[in-house]
Amino acid sequence: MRIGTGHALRQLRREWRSGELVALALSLLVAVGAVTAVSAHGERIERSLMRGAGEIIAADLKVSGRQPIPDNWLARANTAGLASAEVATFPSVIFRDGITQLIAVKGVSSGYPLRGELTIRSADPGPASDVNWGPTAGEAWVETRLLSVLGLELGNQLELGSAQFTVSAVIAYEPDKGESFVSLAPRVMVRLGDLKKSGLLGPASRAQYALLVAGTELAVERFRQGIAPLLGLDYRIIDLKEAQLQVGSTLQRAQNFIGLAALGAILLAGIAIAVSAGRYAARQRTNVALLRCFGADRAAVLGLHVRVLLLLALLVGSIGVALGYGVESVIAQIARQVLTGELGSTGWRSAATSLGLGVVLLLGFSVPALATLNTVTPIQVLQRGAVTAAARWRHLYYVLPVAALALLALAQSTDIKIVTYVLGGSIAGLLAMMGLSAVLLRALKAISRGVGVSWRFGLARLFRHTLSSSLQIASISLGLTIILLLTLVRAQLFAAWQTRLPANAPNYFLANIQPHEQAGVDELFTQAGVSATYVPMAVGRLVSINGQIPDPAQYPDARASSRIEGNLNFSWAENLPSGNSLEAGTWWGEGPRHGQVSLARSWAEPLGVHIGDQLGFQVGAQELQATISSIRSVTWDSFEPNFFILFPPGAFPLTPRTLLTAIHLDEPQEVLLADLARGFPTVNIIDIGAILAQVRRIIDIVSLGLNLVFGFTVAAGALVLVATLSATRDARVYEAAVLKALGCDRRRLLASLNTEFLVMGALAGTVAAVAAALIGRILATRVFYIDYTPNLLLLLVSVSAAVLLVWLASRAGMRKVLATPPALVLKEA
Amino acid sequence: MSDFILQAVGVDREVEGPSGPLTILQDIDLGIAAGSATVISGPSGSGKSTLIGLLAGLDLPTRGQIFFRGNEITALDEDQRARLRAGQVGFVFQSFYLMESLTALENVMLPLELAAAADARLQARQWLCEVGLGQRLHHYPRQLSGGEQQRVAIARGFAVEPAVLFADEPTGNLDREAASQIKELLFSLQAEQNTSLVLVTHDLGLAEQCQRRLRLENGRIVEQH
Repeated sequence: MRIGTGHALRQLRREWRSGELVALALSLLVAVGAVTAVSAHGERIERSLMRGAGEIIAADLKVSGRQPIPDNWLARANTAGLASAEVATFPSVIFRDGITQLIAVKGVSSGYPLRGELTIRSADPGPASDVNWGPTAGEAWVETRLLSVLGLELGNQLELGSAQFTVSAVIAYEPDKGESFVSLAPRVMVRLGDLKKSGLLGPASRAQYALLVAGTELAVERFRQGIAPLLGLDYRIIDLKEAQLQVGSTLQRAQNFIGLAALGAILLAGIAIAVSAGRYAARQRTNVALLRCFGADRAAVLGLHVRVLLLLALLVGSIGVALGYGVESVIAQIARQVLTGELGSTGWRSAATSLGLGVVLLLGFSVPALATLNTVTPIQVLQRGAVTAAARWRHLYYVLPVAALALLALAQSTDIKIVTYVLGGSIAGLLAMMGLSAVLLRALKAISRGVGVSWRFGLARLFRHTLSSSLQIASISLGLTIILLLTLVRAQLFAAWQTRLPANAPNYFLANIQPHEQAGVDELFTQAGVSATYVPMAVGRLVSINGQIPDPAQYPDARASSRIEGNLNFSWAENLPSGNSLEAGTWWGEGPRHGQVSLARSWAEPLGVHIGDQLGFQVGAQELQATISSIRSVTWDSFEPNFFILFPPGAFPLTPRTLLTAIHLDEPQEVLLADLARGFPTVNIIDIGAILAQVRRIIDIVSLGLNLVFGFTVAAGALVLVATLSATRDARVYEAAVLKALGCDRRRLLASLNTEFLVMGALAGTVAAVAAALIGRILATRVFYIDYTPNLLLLLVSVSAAVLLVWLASRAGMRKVLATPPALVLKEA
Repeated sequence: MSDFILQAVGVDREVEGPSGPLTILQDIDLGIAAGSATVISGPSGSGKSTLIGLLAGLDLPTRGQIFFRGNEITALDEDQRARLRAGQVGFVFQSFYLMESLTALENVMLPLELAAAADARLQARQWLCEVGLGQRLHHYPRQLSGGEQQRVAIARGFAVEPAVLFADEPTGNLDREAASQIKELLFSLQAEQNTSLVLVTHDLGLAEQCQRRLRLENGRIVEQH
């Protein structure tokens, strides 16, 4: 016997009309809406970041080398339909009125910058304006500090080699300046053609040439593939991914948090679906018994209901997708008004995925309830109390929602750690909450003897079925926990981010400070009230891994080649530097420490090296074999000096070293850089302000994203509450009818119902407060690496909120309980 | 055996009670002839509903065999019995058991759809007209009186033109006038369709119209006419 899809469609229409599917549909709507909004927002952030990264290199792709860019490469880019520009940078020195100044010259062709804009001021001081072109022929644009060092004014002449330039603008922001830390000295930007005529671009100029290209993703990729074999050893490609490296870790953490928040909404919607499906299944029992009487077998009955839900999932899911996009675009509109810079667009990639996940969620969470319909025997139409057949392996059905949740979790967050925490935490959490609720109920039962009749009736309903009462309380608690957690951890996380990236986060790196210069540099800054910590730095190469000379071709991870072939910056430290935490192994202690090395995880991973492996380093003439004794995770986005490779102090006693420091300078203090450049011309000044601005912008975008998720989570939490209370409403209506028939007046009935909801809310609030405090602490310390101390006020807030919410949610159902005439109920029973 | 459309041979039914097995039915032997009307009567708790449940294949006896059209339904599993019932067995219940979310028309369509009837809607409409509810096709059960609901249930029961129709106290929830109309309808349709009717009732008027009468007491057949 098979029941056709046409019948399922009719059944869906009939059930929808009867209102039985509304709770299920709303839960699904919230879940699909949340998934769509979050993934659409993720897409937007990704695109926005790609644009931001584009600004860091002022292009979509950059080919950089020590030799001039061959003309045919430019032609190749133009043929591919790409916009292109050429850039040459090199350090030089200018003289003016007896002052010698190291400058960073940049020659740009027309079209520069291809991505992002330059901010310039045509009067100093004066208003700034954003322009997407560079200086014209004969013009020089310079940084403000050069004006102050050389005593220049706008309109003055500047001599570069054999060419004369008019200083016509001050550069306030240069999109690609922070890239790769090569901005050594004040910038002087001129036309590339002028520079070629100046005679400065000779073979001894130490110039870095670059070809910038921008265009469609496909065209850029084709160009990259075409040019890659021609690069040789002289050129390399810098793409958006590489440019993103600096902002990557902040983004990763932010996406984890958004994923976690979205999972909360999905989990809550799943619980609401499970509870609503339970009520739906309970109401379908008589109908199922009838269908069985009329000849439908079990597979046909289950198939019918699965198809009804599948149709519902597709219909409501589509509306959910539209809702998700709608809400996300509203948030994006707000973001456009609040944030500076362009926010990326969103795509339709999320729609199909979200719809699919909606189907998985609805079926996964409702099949355990629907499976109970298979236990309905046809004899139940004749004998209401007939024993229900127990479904074999029925507990195995609960694997489905867990699997569905795992699938959804993996779709939301690729971070296995987060997924494990949320999945394991929610399942164990629900069970623990049920246990705690049961314990609290028993304790309450013991202390509530001798209370009045209304209280006794109210409490009796909770005590009678401890298991289902515990499940109800635990479901409400779980919803409340996630909401508490989200407000709590969210506040904590952003507070921690603010702390980690305070307004005085370093905005300049000073590199290449010679040891003998340290005292002088320090004095310069100390006098101005700027503090700095200096870390030593040396340069070397990796020459062997476990005694073998490494071959980059043998490593699947492309990052391995830069570790094997490039120069490595490393440092040494007595203690584990701040912003670092040990992931494996031990930090060197008091004992023998020679021959040990500590690696950052992100550096070690591409090489596949672990604790105990031997690495050989060549530093100057010295070679050192070192055993990996620890692996660290490093908080790069703190913008403090950090190193992938750290040795114990004294590892390279004879190696020439330089010092590195990070400082924060307010705008008026930036004049100090001029003094620094004059007094210590070899010190490299690296401006990281652009990268910092980029990180801050991402945090702003992400926090808007969290608001969006939060809205969905609250909606899902409310649905759990309503679904849970609706699930027991029929029983309450029946019991109230019996009590009324026995002479219980409205006042006492109301008191008994209020008692039930008050106690339920208080217990749920208590359980939620305990759970939120515990999970918050675990997440804070293990995942987000922030400090969090649970607040005792949390308990009060949680209990009050729970009581109020349960009471409010119970109002709608309460009217039916109080108003239904007992005769009607008892006749139907 | 071939004279009977439905036959029970040595049927016992026990259930587990709080103090051991409780016998509901014992040594039941009976045969239902095709096109006949049989009434099963007896005091409350005598096992009437259990017996028609077993005869309809809704449950299995503890011992004994039941045959429907020569097939031993006691040898079939639940799903096989369900498939055997489809389109061949109809039911009318004391509590009507109409689906609340379906209109009168849709309720009658249901067994027709399950029996894969091509023109379920048309047939259902004709059946409702036949029971005098042609103006109430799109009413929901709650919008119908008890008598009207039972007429929908009778239309539903006969819609698949079953070989056997089981009716459990079909007039039990109705007033005298409605009961009389239902009685008339039931027997006229039974005669028209040549359906075997198996009735459980306390209604003497209803019982008197049946050719065959069985009386159950304490799970045994104590009287047969």
